[in-house]
Amino acid sequence: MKAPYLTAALAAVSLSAAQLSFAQAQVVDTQPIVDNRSPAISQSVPVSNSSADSQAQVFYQLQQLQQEVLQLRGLVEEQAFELKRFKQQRMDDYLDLDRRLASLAKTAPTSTPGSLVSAPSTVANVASAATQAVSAGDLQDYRAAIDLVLHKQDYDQGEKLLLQHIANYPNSKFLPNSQYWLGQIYLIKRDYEQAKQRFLIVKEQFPDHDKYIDAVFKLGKAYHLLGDNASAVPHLQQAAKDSGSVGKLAEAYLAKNFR
Amino acid sequence: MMTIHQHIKSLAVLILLSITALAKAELTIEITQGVDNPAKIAIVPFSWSGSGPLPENVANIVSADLLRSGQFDPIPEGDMLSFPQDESEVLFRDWARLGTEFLLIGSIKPSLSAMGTNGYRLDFQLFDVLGQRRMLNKNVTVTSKGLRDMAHFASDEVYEAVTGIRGAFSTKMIYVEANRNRQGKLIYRLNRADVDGARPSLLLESDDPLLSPAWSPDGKQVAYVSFETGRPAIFRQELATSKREQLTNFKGLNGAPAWSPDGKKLAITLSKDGNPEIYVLEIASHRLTRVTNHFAIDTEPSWTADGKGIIFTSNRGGKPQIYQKTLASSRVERLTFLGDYNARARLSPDGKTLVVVNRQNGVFHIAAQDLETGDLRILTETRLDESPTIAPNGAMLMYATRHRGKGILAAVSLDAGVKFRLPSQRGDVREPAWSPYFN
Repeated sequence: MKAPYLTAALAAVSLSAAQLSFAQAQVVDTQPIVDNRSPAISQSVPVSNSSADSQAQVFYQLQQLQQEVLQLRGLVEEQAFELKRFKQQRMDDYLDLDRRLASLAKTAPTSTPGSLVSAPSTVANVASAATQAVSAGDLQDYRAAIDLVLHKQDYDQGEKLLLQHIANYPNSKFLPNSQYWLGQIYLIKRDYEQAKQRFLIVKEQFPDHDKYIDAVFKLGKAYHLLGDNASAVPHLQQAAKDSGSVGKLAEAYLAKNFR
Repeated sequence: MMTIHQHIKSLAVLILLSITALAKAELTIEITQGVDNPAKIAIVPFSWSGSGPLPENVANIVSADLLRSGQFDPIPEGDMLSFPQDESEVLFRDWARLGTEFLLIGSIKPSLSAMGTNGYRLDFQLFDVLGQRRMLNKNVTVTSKGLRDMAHFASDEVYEAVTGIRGAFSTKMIYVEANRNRQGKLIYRLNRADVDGARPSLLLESDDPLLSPAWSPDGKQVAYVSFETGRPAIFRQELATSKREQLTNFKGLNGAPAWSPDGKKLAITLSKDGNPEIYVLEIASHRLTRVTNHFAIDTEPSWTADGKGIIFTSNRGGKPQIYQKTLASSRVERLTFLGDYNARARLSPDGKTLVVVNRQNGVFHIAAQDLETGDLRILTETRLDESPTIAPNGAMLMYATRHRGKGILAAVSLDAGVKFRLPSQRGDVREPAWSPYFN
């Protein structure tokens, strides 16, 4: 018999609260009370041993909880948004940095075609090195660039394509190859400083790569051509220990220039 | 609290409206800001081969239209060296000397339609002065009362030829006007007018507040909220016949109708189940579907262009912000994060820009948010700006504001480059709704 009174009291509270324009006040008179008055009350609160006071208490706590949930939801939404934004920002910053580095590497090329590329390894073993799945664009762009360098000897265009390839596919399997061939192009263009940078990248970042020993040899060569014999000799000697063709080339280079 | 406040505010402002004047209710235009480099255009007064003077100066209306777009700078008639009526009379060198980039010429003659009614025909040509070539050669025939339509048609054509964007000068707007009658009682009028404010016509007059007018996508009907039954109820009205239908009569709030892009449904806000929630009402069957279900307030629905989603204001995150609900998946996504208040969202026709009433650091603005980048551009400055409505070409938006203590309409381009006011000569004007294209 108490239920109707409680309902009336609750309705009055919720009404006045609504007039005070508290969002959560209106919430309460949604489903449970309006649609299904007395049963909702008896379900939600043990009517038998509660007074109107404790009903109001529960109601007040419910309001507080709802307000709390609203605020928490707002926080979660905002933090999810921030997180998304930071991820995007990180990606953008990385791409920007990469672009800057690439354009930095492109500046000041002294273009005089010099000695031919001595290619210790071929495109074929480059392709075989790509054991993992490779995107079609990646492979295609890389092949196009290498074709220009090795077959057409168009070093300006080849340089451009290789830089593009590095910028577009920073995680490419062919990244060490691209760096190596860029170094080669700079050697030919007698831009030894840039050549040194590229070979250093291969040497330091890809010690397990097929091109590693080639890069070490060319790095030695670049140092030599820069006049830094102290740095050149250890690299050339390291390369000369190689059992393959690079070793022979390095040995010959050492014999010719340092003995 | 803010959101409810806002509902109350709508009412309060209406009740506070208080200016009486007996002048004819026409809106006049005042340009407050233009783009840096508007194209110079010469609009030569059109010749008229009929008898008696024409009731409207068509070339002047074209000139005003183009000036208002902010993209054009019409040169004064007094600077013109000649008034060519035909391509053969055009001396490009003279116009180039005036710095004119474009030249519009035309001639009007009487036209007798098949029905035997009198009308007018305009033949007009647009020239590119620097390229010395004709860009347009068109004609338009109108009825005896259609000279303004004729002018707006020419403006649309010129605007599109030069900017590549379809013109919206021929579109209309509806707005609510409140005036005190001689007994000092507020009378509410729902008016329809050209977007330059000319030719206002009364759609509905009521002693009780009218709110939230909205165009149907075909431009043949409007929906609005009227208090004539003693509480807010949503009505729709056919423009051609003035036939009205009351669509809702629920307890509590019945508000903010928004037509679905197919024109078959209305998204509305109802508080019949306790607190404001979004519902979709099928107009033909009167079938009601509940869209949102949250103990927070959900209100001010509008549709995405494909009709698959509803954008609404909700304080479910503790503050009013804009959310989008995809109807098929029921997925709700929050769209706005800048500012502690974002409400009354409208999407641009291309769906790329969200226009909102935004508050940052305690100041209200109308702002445009690029949905892809999230960048927010503040379009207006005063805290009184509200009810933004976007032109169907997405180039401009109109909003209600207050100027010298009076409710007026103003417009701003979506790039914030051009602003103008349409001060009303009497009463308070608010809640504008820009029509869709009519064809």
